[in-house]
Amino acid sequence: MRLAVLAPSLLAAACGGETADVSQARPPAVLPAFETRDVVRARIAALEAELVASRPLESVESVEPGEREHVRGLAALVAGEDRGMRAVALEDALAVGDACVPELAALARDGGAAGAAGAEREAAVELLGALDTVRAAEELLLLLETAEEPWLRAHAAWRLDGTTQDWTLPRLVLRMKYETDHETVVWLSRTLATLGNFTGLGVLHVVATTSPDELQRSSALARMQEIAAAAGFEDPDELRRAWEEGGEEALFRPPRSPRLELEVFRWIAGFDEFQLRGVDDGRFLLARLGPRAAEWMGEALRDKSRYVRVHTAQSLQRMGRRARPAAPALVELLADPEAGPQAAEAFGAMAFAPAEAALAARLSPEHEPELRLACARALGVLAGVPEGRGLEPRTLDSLRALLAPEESAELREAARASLRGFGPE
Amino acid sequence: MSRTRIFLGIALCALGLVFLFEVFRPGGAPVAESRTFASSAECRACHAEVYAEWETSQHAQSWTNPAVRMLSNDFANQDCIDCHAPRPVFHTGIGERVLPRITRREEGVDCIACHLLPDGRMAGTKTIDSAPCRPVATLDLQRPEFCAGCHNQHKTVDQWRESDWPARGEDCSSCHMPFRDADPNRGRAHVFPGGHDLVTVQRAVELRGRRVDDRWVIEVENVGAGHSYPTDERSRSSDLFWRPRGEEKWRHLYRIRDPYRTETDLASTLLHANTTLTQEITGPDADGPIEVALFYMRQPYWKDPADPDPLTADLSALVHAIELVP
Repeated sequence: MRLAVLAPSLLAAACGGETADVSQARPPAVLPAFETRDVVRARIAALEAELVASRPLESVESVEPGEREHVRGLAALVAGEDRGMRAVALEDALAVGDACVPELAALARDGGAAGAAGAEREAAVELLGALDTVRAAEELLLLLETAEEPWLRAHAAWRLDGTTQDWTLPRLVLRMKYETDHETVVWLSRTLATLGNFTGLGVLHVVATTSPDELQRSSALARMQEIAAAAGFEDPDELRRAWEEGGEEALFRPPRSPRLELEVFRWIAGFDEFQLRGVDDGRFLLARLGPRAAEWMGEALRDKSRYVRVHTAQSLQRMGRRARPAAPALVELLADPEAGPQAAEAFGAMAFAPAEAALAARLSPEHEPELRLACARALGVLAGVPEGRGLEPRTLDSLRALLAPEESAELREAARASLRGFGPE
Repeated sequence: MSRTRIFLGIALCALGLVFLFEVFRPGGAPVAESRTFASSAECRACHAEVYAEWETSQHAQSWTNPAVRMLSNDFANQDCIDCHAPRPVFHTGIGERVLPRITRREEGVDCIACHLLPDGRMAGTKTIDSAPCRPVATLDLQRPEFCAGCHNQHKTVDQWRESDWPARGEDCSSCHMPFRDADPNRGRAHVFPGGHDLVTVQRAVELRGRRVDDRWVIEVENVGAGHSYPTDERSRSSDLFWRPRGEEKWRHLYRIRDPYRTETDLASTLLHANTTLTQEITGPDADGPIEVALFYMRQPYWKDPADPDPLTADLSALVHAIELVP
């Protein structure tokens, strides 16, 4: 049949007319393809190289068998009541450094080979926290993630408070999804706050208002007030709102380490996995990170994996207004036939008014139904933003055009709802 | 007249002949106009039987089913949307994970999700250029990998691969898309019987019991599922109960289940294909005649966790019951 299309041109040529303009027979110009590249894996490789270059991975030997008793003795001293000896023991442990981490971790987990008592196990957790190294923080995270005894998880969360290991953030946030012990959740929230992440405030509010245990209710309330005061807020709810809005540049954008950036990109890379379990975890934790992570996620929106692009956009959507640093990358993503609809949804969740024109431009029939619907709905959110200036007349016209009977019922309904958001039609 | 014009004239005549042959050849039919199918409802006119079957299926209700809505908190848990309102399988590829769609979610796992090809045609069992949906014979539709994008999220396809079912030539469609009236000429039914269909569940397992010395030995064998029993995590379990004859209250004996990911303190006790679970019942209450029952639960939560009662639990069904007399 394609040959038949050429027939008029051939006929014209055969009959001696002017040579036909072949370009007239061409199909309409196709929009340029959305260009992708290997963003995430390249970023991970670069960050790994940077970490190796800045701090060569040293082989840290564990203490000799004879010295294990010494490490256990340090834990016993820290557990004791003599403040002077306790201080000496802490100093001594810091001098030994990472070499004592395995023994301390074994002591904390189950009392070690000698079956240490509860107080010594608590002291081992405390010493791991005091060490504040990558290795020690890793052991504390493992205790938090896998220890069966709730008190041990709570202690691990408590002793991570004040850590300088900001790369622990993603896993600490993820723990909020699975942790069932209220006390652990309380300490976890405070630890997150000291790392500049205030996602735990909402959970603390739930514990403070619904826990059947009065002690836990009051502990959660006290932690909320502590966190707010430390951040310079009188009211914890005010801090929570500020966090959701993504304002407070200095507070929510503390300096971040390459190791944290590497962790974030590793989670983003996990979106390419087949199993949704890891994807669900990734969406959960990335959506609860701060504005700096949103910038990194914005970079990932050009990745060659459709799963990375779609799920990163979904995470930004769930992040809400805090995701605004990724807005420029999301505008570009609207041109992606696969992740464009998720980009539009993200703009709705972010209530990002500057995206109005880009969204309105995608309402016309030449765009995919998924994208048109997502854009229509997102414009409805923008129309209803309290601080917004309303939609442009041209946007309203584009929305009204969707009310035509030949459009799908759900597109008409979305347009109607969006127009209602602006005012009665 | 130049040579070029003569050549073009001949070419035009040849084209005309080709065109006339295509249109008027014996038994030939014009190729259907290209059109995009935007909703499964458009399939009903030509495929009424298939559509009617699908409408009763769990695939059709994957977005609207009240139990799903309850478990997903009305899809506030957005992670469930990927598989409960998926984009077409062929869009991401066979064996790949599906992505969530935004439009027509209430149509669930619909005709378009399984049949729409990236070029706008439909995957089917025959290639028919003249039909409005321009179906293309696509063997991939019958491969277990086709179902894997969603169903292997819970390892169901892996469980099948590890069983002897592939060697026997039995796959997903053998049980879940049988031929209508067992007649291959009638095509495969689109009802997809599974855990919601008691007959299918009953065929999957056998319940037996025998007296050995002073105890009852109870066996549950996976005889008819080409994957673990039950498959699917979180929302499925099967529970074995017993009671002395004449007693009203069932006593919990064993739970067969793959726990949800948050239930890290529970072990998976799935009954894999062709394997047998053995449990014993002893004690003075079991010295006389007893009844043993196997229940299937489409949500695994008891009203009172300390006192499991299959008769008050939501979405529970009696699969098999036996009476054992010493």
